[in-house]
Amino acid sequence: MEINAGIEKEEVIEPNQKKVFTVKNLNLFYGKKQALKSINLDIYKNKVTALIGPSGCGKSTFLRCLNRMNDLIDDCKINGELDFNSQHVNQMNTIYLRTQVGMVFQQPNPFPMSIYDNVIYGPRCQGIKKKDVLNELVEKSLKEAALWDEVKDRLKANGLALSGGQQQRLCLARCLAMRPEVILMDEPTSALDPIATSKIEGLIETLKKNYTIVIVTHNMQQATRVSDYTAFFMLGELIEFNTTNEFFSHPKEKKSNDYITGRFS
Amino acid sequence: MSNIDNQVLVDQAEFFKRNRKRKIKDFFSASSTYLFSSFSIVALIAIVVFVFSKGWSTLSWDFLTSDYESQLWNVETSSSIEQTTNTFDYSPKEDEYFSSKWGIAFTDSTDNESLAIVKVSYVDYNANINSLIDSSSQDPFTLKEGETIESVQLWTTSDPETASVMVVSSKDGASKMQEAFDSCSYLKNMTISTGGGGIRGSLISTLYVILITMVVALPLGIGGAIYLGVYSDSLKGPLKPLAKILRNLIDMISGIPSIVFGLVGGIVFLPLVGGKGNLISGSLTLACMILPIIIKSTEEAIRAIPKNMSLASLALGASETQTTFKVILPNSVPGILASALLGIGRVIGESAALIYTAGTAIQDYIIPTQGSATLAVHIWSLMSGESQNYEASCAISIVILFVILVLNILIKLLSLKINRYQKGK
Repeated sequence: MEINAGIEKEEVIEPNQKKVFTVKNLNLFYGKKQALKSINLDIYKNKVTALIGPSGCGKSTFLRCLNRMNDLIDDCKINGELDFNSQHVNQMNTIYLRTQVGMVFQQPNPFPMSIYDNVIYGPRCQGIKKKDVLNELVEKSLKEAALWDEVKDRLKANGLALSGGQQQRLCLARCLAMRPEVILMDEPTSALDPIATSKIEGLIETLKKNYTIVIVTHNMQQATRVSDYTAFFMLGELIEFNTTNEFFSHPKEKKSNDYITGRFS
Repeated sequence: MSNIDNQVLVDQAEFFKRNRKRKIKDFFSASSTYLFSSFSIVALIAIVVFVFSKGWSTLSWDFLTSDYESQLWNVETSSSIEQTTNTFDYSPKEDEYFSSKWGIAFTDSTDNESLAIVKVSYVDYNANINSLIDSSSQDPFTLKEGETIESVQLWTTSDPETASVMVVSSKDGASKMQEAFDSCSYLKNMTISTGGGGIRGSLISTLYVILITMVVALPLGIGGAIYLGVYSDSLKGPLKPLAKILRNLIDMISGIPSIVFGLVGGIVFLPLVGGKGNLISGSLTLACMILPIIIKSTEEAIRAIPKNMSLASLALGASETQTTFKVILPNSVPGILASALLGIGRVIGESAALIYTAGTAIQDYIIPTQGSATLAVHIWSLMSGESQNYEASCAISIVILFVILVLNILIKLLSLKINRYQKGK
């Protein structure tokens, strides 16, 4: 796959596009170490935004800010503005925020319970008990995650009995069952083989009709394949944010150019 | 300046000279570890061999299921029955002694406490000895094979004026018993017993103690473990050392000797149950004693659950408590079971803490509100009397060792299951 594969598509940042997240001057500290330095970034609705950059650049940290998973880390301090649908994220109820902003992790991590129970875990935690609602959610979410045909006959089987790629799609289905607005993906394919990876990438393409997706990836080809916007992080700073086409064909910053051409040291 | 670069650090001739010395040193160091480690195996084998050689012959289904107190009957014949002629035919087996006058055969045997007794091995269907009556109730009494003749008083004639009296007891042996029966014609009275020396009551009281202890200790222990394993991590500021202090205190509790638990349990729990030790006060004491075991291994099980499992739950909008009770707790069930089994092992083997709190009396009919001995206390009782009964004690030890072996195997199987989660699968 060529880096400039999507160059024909014409996309530019449109100022009147609906923003889901607006980030202004966001700083994050782990103890005394500053992990994110005045980040300014917008996440657009029903688009796929890829966060790329070398290891330790803060892209995963930034992702975890969006559903406040950083709250779980001691000595983590955040300042700056981070709005979700024009509400301040830090003033929102964490649990409500996480029902709206789902997350898929790097390692497939289904619960050691049945496939059915895995999918309805989130809705059940919100007190939804009606059998028909839950059944519908299971079918719909598994279909959206392209797993329904493979597991519809064994919904009672343990989620851990599935293959790695299936497990990751189960985690995606589990996340979709909450009907979130945004799905955060933290290197969702790094533990998967190429076939499972391409399945997930195909899913991202279809899911963006209904969901806003933010994906962290190490794989620049993957970013060009699936994303509409790309944000390039380095050493806790946002170096460049642009449409994926623009970013990979005409990077504005020298660091971006060095990174995508492999000259980054 | 540095001449080390130009020097040969290990000279070949020098090396082989030193190597011989080193080999000797290595041999002694290594062989000492073999020697010391073999000591522990020798100790283990010695225990097993001793216990089995002493106790195996006593161990039987009867030993496990019969009462400790033997049942006694005083029986007599009516004065009109006198046995004067040898009328009965029976071909006695090798170890049997047959009285052809009375139609009854005896064998030498041992009871559950390995004391010599005489057992009835055959009674002729037509013999007069079938028409015995119970001395106290005057009801007919049938002598059955397998019953023990504790003692018997025989007269040469039924006339008290002229009769000479012979008294034979169980410890005289079967041949003396047969001689006495053959030489006398009137049976004045006889003491018959069955069973006795069994450990059924102690087994049941052990089960009661395990049950009550677990009912009390498991919820407390699991609660404490959840606090330490999940919630104490979010302590902040000046409270932060609290979890560490708690953990150290729990470690300290597990080092307290059980006799001290017994004393304190006696002071604290005996007034609660009305001053006299019973199974409930004993179990409460043991519950305090095994609490640290349950807390520690349950906490370990909780911490073995991969972090990304609880992260996934939190990211799906579950609260911390929902995550704890829906993801962490169900997945630590194998660990909790393993901790419970460890605790049960401790309870089965415990005697010192129970002597003051649950009593040492060996009972046959167990009520939790009464004191009775568990298996370990049963051993203590058997050995603290005037005559020490090694055989029965070792037989009980075999039972305890067997249960502990089974528990250990179960724990191993369960920890295999825990390891599955540690591998992240």
